[in-house]
Amino acid sequence: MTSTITPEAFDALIAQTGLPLSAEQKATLLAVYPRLQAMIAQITEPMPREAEPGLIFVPEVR
Amino acid sequence: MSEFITIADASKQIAAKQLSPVELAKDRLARAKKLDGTLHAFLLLTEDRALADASKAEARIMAGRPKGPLDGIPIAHKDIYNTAGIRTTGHSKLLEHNVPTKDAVTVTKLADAGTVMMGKLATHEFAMGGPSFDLPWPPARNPWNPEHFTSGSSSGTGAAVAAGLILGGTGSDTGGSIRGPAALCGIAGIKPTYGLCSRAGVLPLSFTMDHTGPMAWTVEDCAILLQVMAGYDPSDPASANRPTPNFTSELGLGVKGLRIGVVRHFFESDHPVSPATKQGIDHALDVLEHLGAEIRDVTLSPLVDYHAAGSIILTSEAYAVHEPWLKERFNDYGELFRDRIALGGLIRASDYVQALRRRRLLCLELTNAMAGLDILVSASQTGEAPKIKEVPKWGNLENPSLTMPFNLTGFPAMSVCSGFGVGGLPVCVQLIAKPFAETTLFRVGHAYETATNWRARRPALAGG
Repeated sequence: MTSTITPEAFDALIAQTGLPLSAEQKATLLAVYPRLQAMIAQITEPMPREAEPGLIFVPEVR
Repeated sequence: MSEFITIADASKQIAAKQLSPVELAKDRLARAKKLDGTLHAFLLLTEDRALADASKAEARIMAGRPKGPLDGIPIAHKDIYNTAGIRTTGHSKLLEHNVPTKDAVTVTKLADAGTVMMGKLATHEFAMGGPSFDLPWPPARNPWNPEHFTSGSSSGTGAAVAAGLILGGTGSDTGGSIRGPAALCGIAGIKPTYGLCSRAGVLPLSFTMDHTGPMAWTVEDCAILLQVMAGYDPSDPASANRPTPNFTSELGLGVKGLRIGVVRHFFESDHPVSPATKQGIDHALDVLEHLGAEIRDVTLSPLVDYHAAGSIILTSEAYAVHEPWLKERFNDYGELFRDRIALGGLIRASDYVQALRRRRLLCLELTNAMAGLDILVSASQTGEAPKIKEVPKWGNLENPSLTMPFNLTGFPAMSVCSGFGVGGLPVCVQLIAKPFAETTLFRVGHAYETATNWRARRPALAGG
């Protein structure tokens, strides 16, 4: 599976997290990032606008 | 004393004063000391506490004041359940010396029911990933063959119950962590409906996917444990405020007239299972049909749709839980946990929300599919336990999980042993019910278990 992200863009993503990753750890994550992208693509196919999140909000304070 | 005994049988013998809780506790402690050097199921054996609990139970029984079916029954807790004054580590270096001041709500409930607390059980680090070999304690081993994986993350509970070190225990299930080890260790384990069992005082992984529940040798024993664990808890924001049914009330009613749907594409094409697992499921369906159930096939969205939404939500929420520690103590985590969770930092907020929207559509799909059904049947694991050294690091991304759909949707689901594979290790079937229909789940699981003889076989290592 090929990644659609460049190493530079991936570095920027990692920098945003603030995680103290070594070069080796970054490479590990970059190698599996395409699989994460595939999962995201799986759930971001078009949905009807009225499809709301599957959460129940109970406004009372327990 | 019998090497193996179920909770139901022990309970009857204790109530009849034929079995001493103290002798039972001593016997299980001796078994644990003998076998746990191989199994690593326990992170901590609380011998003094067990003997004290057992003495109190025995005094109650002898005085004619038993607390109920769990009085004097030896159990243990997955080490993400807080135990007051007793180390609770999450199997992680980060909490290596953590001693909570308060029990988890379910721990208190089980203690109040008279159980004998034997100790704290191995898990995958913070209930995710595994097996890991870079943590302060080794991973649990499968009693059917210690070279093999238990699955996880409730790995210690699976191993300890299967080996007869305890009669039951607690687990947690965020993506399959009760049903996986139940399956690979050949026991029963139920992930109840989301909101049925309190999660208060249990180390969180993913707020909207985490479930607590029991694991035991039989379906009946799980029902007995769940009876105590379930119920509304105002300290858990997701707890459902509804009456707790009698979970054993339908055991023995059989399955005549019940309607069972089979999600074949999940385990035949979406994530194909081993021939032994397939054979076990087909045999289970034959048994249930012979007992009078109606069987028909059901088609849902592809398994990967459920898996993707569940994984995005789980990883995002787990990252949010662990982010402060990840930034400060990244290398104190084991490699498996930190690498898997770090991916959560790369998921955009909009992707998380889309996963939540997808979740609702899939919940509606499952609700509609079950409208004319009582139970769904699928696989829980793809086959027998693999060798522990051959479990892939990124297995969670390689193939869709067979258990994830029911964490995502919150429907109750249970693993039940359905035979043994070519390697002599257990295989299993997964049963699913409508929300809060655990009583039906137990009814069907118990009917299947008692119509087959799989419960008669125990691991040879443990004397079976």
